[in-house]
Amino acid sequence: MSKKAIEIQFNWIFVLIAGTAILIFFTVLVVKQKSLSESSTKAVVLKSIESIISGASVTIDTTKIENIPNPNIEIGCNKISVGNLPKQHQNLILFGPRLVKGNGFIWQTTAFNTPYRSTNLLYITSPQIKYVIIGNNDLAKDMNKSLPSYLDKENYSSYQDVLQIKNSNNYKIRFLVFENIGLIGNSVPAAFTKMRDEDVTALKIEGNTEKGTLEFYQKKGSSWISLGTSAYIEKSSLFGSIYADTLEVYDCNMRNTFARLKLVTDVYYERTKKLRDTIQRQECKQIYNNALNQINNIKILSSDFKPENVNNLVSTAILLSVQNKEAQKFSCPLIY
Amino acid sequence: MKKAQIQIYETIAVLFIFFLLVAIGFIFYARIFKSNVDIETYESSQKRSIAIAQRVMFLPELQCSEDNIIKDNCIDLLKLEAAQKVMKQNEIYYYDLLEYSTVNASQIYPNSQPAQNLYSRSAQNFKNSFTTFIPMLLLDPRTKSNSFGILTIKTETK
Amino acid sequence: MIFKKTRGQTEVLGLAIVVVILLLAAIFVVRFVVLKNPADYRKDFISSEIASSTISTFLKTTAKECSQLTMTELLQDCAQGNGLICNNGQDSCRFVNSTAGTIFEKTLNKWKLNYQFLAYVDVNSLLIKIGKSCKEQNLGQESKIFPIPIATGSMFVRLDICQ
Repeated sequence: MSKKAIEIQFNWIFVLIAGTAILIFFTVLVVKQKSLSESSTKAVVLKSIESIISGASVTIDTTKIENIPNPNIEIGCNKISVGNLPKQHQNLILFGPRLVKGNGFIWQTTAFNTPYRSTNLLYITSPQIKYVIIGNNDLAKDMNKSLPSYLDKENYSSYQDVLQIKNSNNYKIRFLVFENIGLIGNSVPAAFTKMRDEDVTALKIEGNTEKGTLEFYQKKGSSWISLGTSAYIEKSSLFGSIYADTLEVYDCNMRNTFARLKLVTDVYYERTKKLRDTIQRQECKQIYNNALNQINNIKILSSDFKPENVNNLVSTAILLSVQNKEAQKFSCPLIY
Repeated sequence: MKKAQIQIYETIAVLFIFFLLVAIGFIFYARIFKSNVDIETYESSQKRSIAIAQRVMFLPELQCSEDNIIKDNCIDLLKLEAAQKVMKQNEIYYYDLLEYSTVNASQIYPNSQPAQNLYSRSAQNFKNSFTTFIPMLLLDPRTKSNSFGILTIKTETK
Repeated sequence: MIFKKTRGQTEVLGLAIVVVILLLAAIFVVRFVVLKNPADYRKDFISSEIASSTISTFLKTTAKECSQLTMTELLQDCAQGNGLICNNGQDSCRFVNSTAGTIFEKTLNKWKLNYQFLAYVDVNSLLIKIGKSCKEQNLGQESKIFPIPIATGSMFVRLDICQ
């Protein structure tokens, strides 16, 4: 082989090696940048959720839609995560489905007043989750009116009508059953049998706007299985049970709500005691004495979230509100 | 051979300079990135301090209310006394809400009174510290008198 | 031949141009990215919050030396000229003026904030004026105006926090 031929070949080999090295270098750089950029986007979404959670304590009765594409927010007990970026909280009150995804998300806040305001409840959901309201009673009609208009919701009078429902490509569907029917004997509507089990859930609600019982269901194949029962107290926690598609998340948030109620009740207890000890008028002292018994009951009942406590809490709250009205009648400083 | 060697050396030199320029660019980019991260950290600390201040202003443990109708910018004096005790007994609970901060309430008018501490948790080696003063009404529900008070919230972030 | 002689020079000139372009890009980036000042979110929050909270709190404050009337009620008396006299002998206008002065001394002055507090029915005839106008000091301002109903219409209370 001539020298020139060797030279040319060697040159080409050299160019190949050098070129490959440069290409590999830049490819690695681009891939690293891409993953960094994705993490940065997730961090922005997480920061946005965190600021909504902070703002929830300030805003009451607010509903808003946030247009953040592909949020992919996972909600758990005291935990929210966006992709592989989790954020842990000690006492998070955020009701929502396991996964929120789509073109954005809807958030809503309401006050938890039992009987005095102790905290705000924050709810989050996706506009791409379908909510099917089954029932014609007063509670069903009330919830239909109260749930935000941004939600994809449908109404049916009976479960038989729901069996004909068509699948409109929602990634999750939640049936809200206000009629007294047992879902265990009934089949899942045919249009949804092919969806993943955890994406098809149901909630059986029995009660009124003050209190009631809940039963959480999930699809298994083409039938329903019960995940367990719980209870709700006033409309705000009923909303929570509608948005939270697992019993675990609902119960966790209600335990946190009750923990907050207990602390605020401690404050009201001390406040009422001080009022009783400093106000001289006998009628006011009597009212405060009665109120202290009820507030003490609320303190005991709020130390554990369970259905029996919910029932007693509602009746105690009513008694306390009677005392508050009495205080107003006798021009005594109000209890709350 | 000499010509070929020279060409190889030339190619190696070009590659060396090229990678050197890329390395310089990379170091430059990293410095800018770090500077941006520092700016974002500072801005994030500011937002955190605002969020904490707002949380304190709207704590149900302090807010004035009449039959569940909340009065803005108002602290119930009787609740304030009770909340001091409750918040101190449950410091760990309130850390989730108030993080590293110090919250004091003090009366300015009709007479100045010493600040009452509601919550205090300091951070070691904090990077940023912000103090926010919020004028608040201090309502005594017994006499229905309103005093002029200040809520001082000092937040520390790492 | 000439071209062969100047070819090296041309190449070096090309390199120099590339280096100059890179340097210009670097200066541009340093100026607009590295030397960028962090946004001051707290400034807007504080001036808006302080202006609104201070004035709303002040108006609801009750006067111990004046039959526990609120500052709003005293300002209404001042605007309507009803001639209320407080326990310390001051009329309602003077009382509000001195109380506002005391409170702002312990708050806005202490926090080194420039401000102007005005109370008026007609802006050309001020009932109370404390502090200096922000415009006179060539400063921006965050203003909060509160209207108070009186028998003859409305009076206004305004607090400008200078930025």
